This record gives sequence, structure tokens and C-alpha cells, in this order.
Amino acid sequence: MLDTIIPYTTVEGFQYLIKFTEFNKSHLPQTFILPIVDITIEVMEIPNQINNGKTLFYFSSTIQKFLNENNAVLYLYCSNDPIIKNKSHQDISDAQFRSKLFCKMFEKQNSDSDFICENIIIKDPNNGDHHIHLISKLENEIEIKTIINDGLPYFENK
Amino acid sequence: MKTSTIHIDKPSDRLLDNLRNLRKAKEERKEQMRADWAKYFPKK
Repeated sequence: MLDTIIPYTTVEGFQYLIKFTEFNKSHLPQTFILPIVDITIEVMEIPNQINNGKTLFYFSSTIQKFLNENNAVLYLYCSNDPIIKNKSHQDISDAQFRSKLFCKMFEKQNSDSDFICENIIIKDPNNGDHHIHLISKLENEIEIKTIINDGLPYFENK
Repeated sequence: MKTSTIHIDKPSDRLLDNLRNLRKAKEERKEQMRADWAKYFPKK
């Protein structure tokens, strides 16, 4: 199993846990070859300010390191938990802001590297849109397409 | 780095149901992480 938890304390003193949880293969279509790993980032106390660049860089580096050490597809579901947004993003949901922030930080750090990030946006008028990212090495692009085609969002992570 | 975006504008009821379950499972995982917090940040 690829499950692991990484604790991190920011320079401002906010504590985060970054958790990698492998999806149970018995619940997945047999067409999925690589392990699929959920990533959850949780903070004990919601920061009263926007995360600084150093914190975002740490998250991005942790994800990059995990993918360099494990041939897997990372699954990131952006939660709608409250997050401090800057003025220009007040009109979007917390999940969408989280998604944009993640894309920006990961792209910035990996602009020249061989990663693929597939963003999936699913409209849900009753509960707010769902924002999902699938991230892996570029060499796994076909696997990512298979996951999308065979319906990764259709199953539960149990 | 390669990025692309897929929009699913008319999801099936089944997809939305499963996403709600997935969101719930995620919330449960977060609750468990918070319950175990002291293991990773022991008080000095």
C-alpha cells in the first residue's frame, strides 16, 4: 500500500497533514493498471490569511516527490471547506478557488517537467460543482484517459 | 507539464450520487485525521 501521512507546520505556525490513501483495487475497474492514490490536505485551524508561496511550494514539492518515488495516479478532490480567498476570487466557490490554486502552484513548479494534470469539472446545481484533478507522469497519459473513460468519479474510496 | 480540462455539464444521477458518497468518505477521512492529530504534532 502507498498510504502515508506527512505532517507540516508553516512558518506562520499553521499545522497541516498531507495524507496519501491508495484506492482499494477491488473496487476499481480491472482496466486500471496503476495504483490510484487520493491526496487529502487538512489543516487544524483555518489560516486567517492566504497561504504564502512557501507553503504552496511545499505542497507541490510533496506531490512531485511522491510521484517521482511511486508510479501512480494521484486523485485530488477539491473540497468546499472554507478557505481565505483574495479579492479577485470572491465570486467563485471555495472548491473552485482550491482547484485554481492547486493548478497554479503545480504548473508553476513543474512547467518544464514531465507531468500531466487532468482537470475534471462536474456540474452539480444542487451541491456545487465538483472539481477533481488526476496527476501523474506524462508517460501515464493513456492510463489517465482510461481512468476518465471508465469512470473514476463513479466509485467511492473505501 | 501537460494540462487539460474536461467539463461534464450533464452528469447522470448515478455520478452525482457517487460523488456525494465520495465527498462524504473524504469528510470522514478528514475527521479521522483530526482525531489522530496529536500523533503527528506531539506537544513539546
